[in-house]
Amino acid sequence: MQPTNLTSRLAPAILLVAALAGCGASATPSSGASPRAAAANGVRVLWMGDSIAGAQAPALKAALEAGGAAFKDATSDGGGNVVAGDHPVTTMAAKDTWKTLGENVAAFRPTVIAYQITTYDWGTPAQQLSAYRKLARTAGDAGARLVLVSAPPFKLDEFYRPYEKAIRSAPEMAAKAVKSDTRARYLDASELWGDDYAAAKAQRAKDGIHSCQQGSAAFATWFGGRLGELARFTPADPATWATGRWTGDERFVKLGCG
Amino acid sequence: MAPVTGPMRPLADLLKPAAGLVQPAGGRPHIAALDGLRGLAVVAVLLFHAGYLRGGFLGVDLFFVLSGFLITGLLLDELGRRGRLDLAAFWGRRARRLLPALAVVTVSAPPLAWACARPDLLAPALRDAPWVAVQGVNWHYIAERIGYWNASGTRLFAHLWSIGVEWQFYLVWPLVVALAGRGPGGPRRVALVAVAGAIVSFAVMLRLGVAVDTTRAYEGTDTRAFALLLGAAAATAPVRNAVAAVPRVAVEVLCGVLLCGLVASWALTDGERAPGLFQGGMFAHSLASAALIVLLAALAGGPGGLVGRVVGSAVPRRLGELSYGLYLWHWPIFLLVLPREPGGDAGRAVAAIGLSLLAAVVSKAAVEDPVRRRAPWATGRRGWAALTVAALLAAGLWAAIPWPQPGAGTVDVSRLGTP
Repeated sequence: MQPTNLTSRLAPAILLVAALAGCGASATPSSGASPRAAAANGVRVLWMGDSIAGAQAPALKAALEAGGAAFKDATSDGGGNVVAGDHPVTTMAAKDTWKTLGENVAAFRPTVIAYQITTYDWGTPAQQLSAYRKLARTAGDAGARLVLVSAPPFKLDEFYRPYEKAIRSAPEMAAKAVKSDTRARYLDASELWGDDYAAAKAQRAKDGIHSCQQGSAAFATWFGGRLGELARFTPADPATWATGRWTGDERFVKLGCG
Repeated sequence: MAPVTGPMRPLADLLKPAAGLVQPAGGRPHIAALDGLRGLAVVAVLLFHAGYLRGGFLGVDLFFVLSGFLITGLLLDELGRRGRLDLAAFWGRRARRLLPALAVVTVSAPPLAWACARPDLLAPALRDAPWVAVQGVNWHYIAERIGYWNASGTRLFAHLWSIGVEWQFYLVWPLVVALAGRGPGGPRRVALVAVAGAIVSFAVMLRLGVAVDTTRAYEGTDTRAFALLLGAAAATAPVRNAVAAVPRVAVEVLCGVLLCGLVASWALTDGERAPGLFQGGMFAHSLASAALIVLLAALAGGPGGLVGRVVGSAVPRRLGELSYGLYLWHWPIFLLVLPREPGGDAGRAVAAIGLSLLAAVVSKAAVEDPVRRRAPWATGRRGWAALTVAALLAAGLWAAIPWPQPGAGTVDVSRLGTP
């Protein structure tokens, strides 16, 4: 059992009192590095994607920071997509993603922008290709390397089924978008997860969509290794970070991961 | 055809004994049909959470409309009688009515989770409890991005977002009524403010309802205010005057149509992703609820109609009287008793509903009624002593209960390989 930490228990009440007193305290949890966090190896990773990428973020942050990189989690639950498509929800979410990306580029100055294809990259193949190329240009203009990584296999429930075609075409368009770009790379995560969300290899949570701690640690290990090759840094040994405090992240509680 | 009740009368007059009214021991007379509506609403919510009624969550919307109607009626009555509102007394009565049972649930649920060896429920409950105590848990869930539709299965207090919304309304709305309702034309001004507020609230819902996770639109006080405000508008003299002029037969037919419409919407709405739910569906439900409520209230002043008699019959009415306790207790009990996947085990669902009913009966008899009816231990110095002991007990329990360490032992490093 974790020792009682009265301060952390009182935090909600303190926050509310502070907010009521006009102190401007925010109840939104901090979810990434400080804007100018130091990177011992000079690598600064901006991590983008939806809530699937969000569930991977705590482990990835632990892994990359243990390796000396700076990390900022820019994922967005229920959004984070760069492909606007024609659906009002994805259009609005994509607008937010591009706006936030601009702010993060200016404030965090990433050397790597990593985007995991989201479950909301609904659009025609042409729209997907255009959005991923725009992302590559944005990264290039910021002097950063772009890494596009495919999403893990996830359960196509009744919500996602109407957009299955777009979900299937997105990885291909991502690979095509960066094919001739020397500063951008597409990573196929199926070598880690496989292609079947229900298989043990996919390591999905009960919802069939997100990962729990073990899956997120597996991704951080795999992705950290690939990123190390691209950005020329040595990833940390998982033994140094994989069982850290990040495993208690609220995201995993919400997912019923334990 | 004769109008329903003749010239409009104050709501207080409607609460004098008549066919559609009941007089609880030691309490104000109730409109039986409105108690019954509350009973139907809580049944809808229970069935929804048990996995058997996909649109049953709309019962909460009906609760909101009922609250807006009843509270505004009481406020306007007091304003009409005395020319001013005793706000402290109003808030005191609301606190007596609502807080004791809520406190018991908030204090009891975490130890129950601990006793049931559910650390996955215990840790979030301990984190959420202070927000429940300050009646702001809906904003806590929104700020923490705890999606109601996906993550409520990990929160013992997930359902208390609606109690937070109601309390926030109770804090603000009496001030508005006190300002707008004073003097000649007061009820009309209150009606206008309520309708204008409802329209603004609906516009906010339209804007925020376009999202993958609709928790912000579902749990926001601003987005849900239209239900409370439509109920409030229905309690004002202009609306009730208009209803009073409607022929009785037409009122009875309308009541039947509206009641059938509401029940049908609970059965046919396909969950939170039903088309148009946040784009007018929920607003239409609130509007229909408000119409049904004001029509039933109008009928209650006379001999009562068929729909009023059915809705106000013993079973729905008794459930309505227990609805607050039932609502508070059902979700923690469901999480601890029902299997994780709802709808999979009818026997357990029946057991969970039965246990919730038992908890509600005990809550009403042992906590709610004694405090509301000012039992000797709940008034004066002894009342303050009881309150102090309860608060100390709650704080002590919250601080003393061992917090589980979430995530411990969830990663096997040997399975990760090398980067």
